[in-house]
Amino acid sequence: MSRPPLSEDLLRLLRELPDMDEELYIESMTRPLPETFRVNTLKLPEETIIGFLEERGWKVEKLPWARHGYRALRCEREDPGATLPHLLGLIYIQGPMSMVPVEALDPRPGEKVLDLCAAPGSKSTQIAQLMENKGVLVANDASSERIKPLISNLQRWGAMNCVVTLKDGRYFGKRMRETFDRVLCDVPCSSLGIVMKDWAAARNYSSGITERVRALQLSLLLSAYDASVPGGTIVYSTCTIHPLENEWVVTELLRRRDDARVLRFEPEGVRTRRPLEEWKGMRFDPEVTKCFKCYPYDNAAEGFFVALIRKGDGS
Amino acid sequence: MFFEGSEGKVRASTREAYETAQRIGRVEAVGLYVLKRTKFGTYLSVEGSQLLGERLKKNVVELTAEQLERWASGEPLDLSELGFKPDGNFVVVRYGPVFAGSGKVSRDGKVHPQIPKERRVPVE
Repeated sequence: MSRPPLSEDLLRLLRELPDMDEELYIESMTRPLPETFRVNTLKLPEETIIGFLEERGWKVEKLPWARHGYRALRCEREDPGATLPHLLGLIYIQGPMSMVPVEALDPRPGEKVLDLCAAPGSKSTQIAQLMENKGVLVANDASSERIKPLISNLQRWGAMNCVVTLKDGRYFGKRMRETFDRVLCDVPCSSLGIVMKDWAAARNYSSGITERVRALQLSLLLSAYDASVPGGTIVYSTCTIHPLENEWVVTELLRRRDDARVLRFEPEGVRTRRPLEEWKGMRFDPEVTKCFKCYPYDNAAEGFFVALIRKGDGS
Repeated sequence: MFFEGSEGKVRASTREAYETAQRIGRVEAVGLYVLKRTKFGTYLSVEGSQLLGERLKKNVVELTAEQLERWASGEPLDLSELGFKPDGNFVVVRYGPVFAGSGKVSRDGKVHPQIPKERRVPVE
């Protein structure tokens, strides 16, 4: 396979990251993601669905880090998204590391949960599943184009406890303060952890993208934090490798909300790496080293950053 | 809880979701689309059949694996092939524990799957 195209700014970034292996990163871009999916226990028992898949010729293996998560070693078709189990909503095709943020959020039945940037809905369906369709999940997105797939994915999944809203994510911190038990803040980012899915992200990347997006990411995280009840849980996540969209954003939250605490989160069976404490003369809060971080070549999967944050309860 | 939305569509939701939607005011969707009432009858969505199918006492047809594949691709099935005489003009189909939506019975004795185009399995 030919060498994938990388912008000058991305090449510079790779060289500036002290823990980055540039060659392994580029090689990871040429490898397709493993086919992974979740089984929909809102519709049928897990073993019933696995039996249905096996009857159709699937061979599957459990993922240790995600409840109801599997890897398809063999599938009835080349495209699992065009299979009957998928179209009937018995499974949801989702990247392996993309399941990690909701596992960190750990939503419970009966709670009030907010997914701030929800489209196209893979993490919202995962949340609804762990909530066992009880309580309420507000699945929000700011894009009118992306709302339609969000609604149809929630429908296909059989999610009954959902309210879908089309709002700027900053609305919730202002108008629905201290409302939600848990908030997922899976923000728009430069997507440098999922370049194997879209080489354009690597070819078109410029440092200006990060400069623009990190201000938005911080304002969304502050909104998520303010929308959380005292003692509530907030998960901040990105699918990028850039410290200014990861460690910097969490450091700024800790600086601006002094009752915020970062909790350690280590998903089972996943190779992780220690977040940076400093980069290019910037010092990040030591708390950020508790966050989950991986590069694409760590697990032959997506690169992800996940911060599990607890809001102070006022005591 | 169930509530009727626009175009005769009935949706299922939790009380908390319904009340939260009322509080927010302008929302895009609440809960799950379960069934639609039309002048020709009542049709269950795929999810409606999966939610309510086990409670139905009549008009539930068991398909073979091969019939399920044809059904999921949007192909109408002959009632004579199914060996089934429906009471009314709609049926729900299942393959073991897997419910796969409802269909409209036409005068020529065929059951037409009411599955949205984007959810049909493409023919290979």
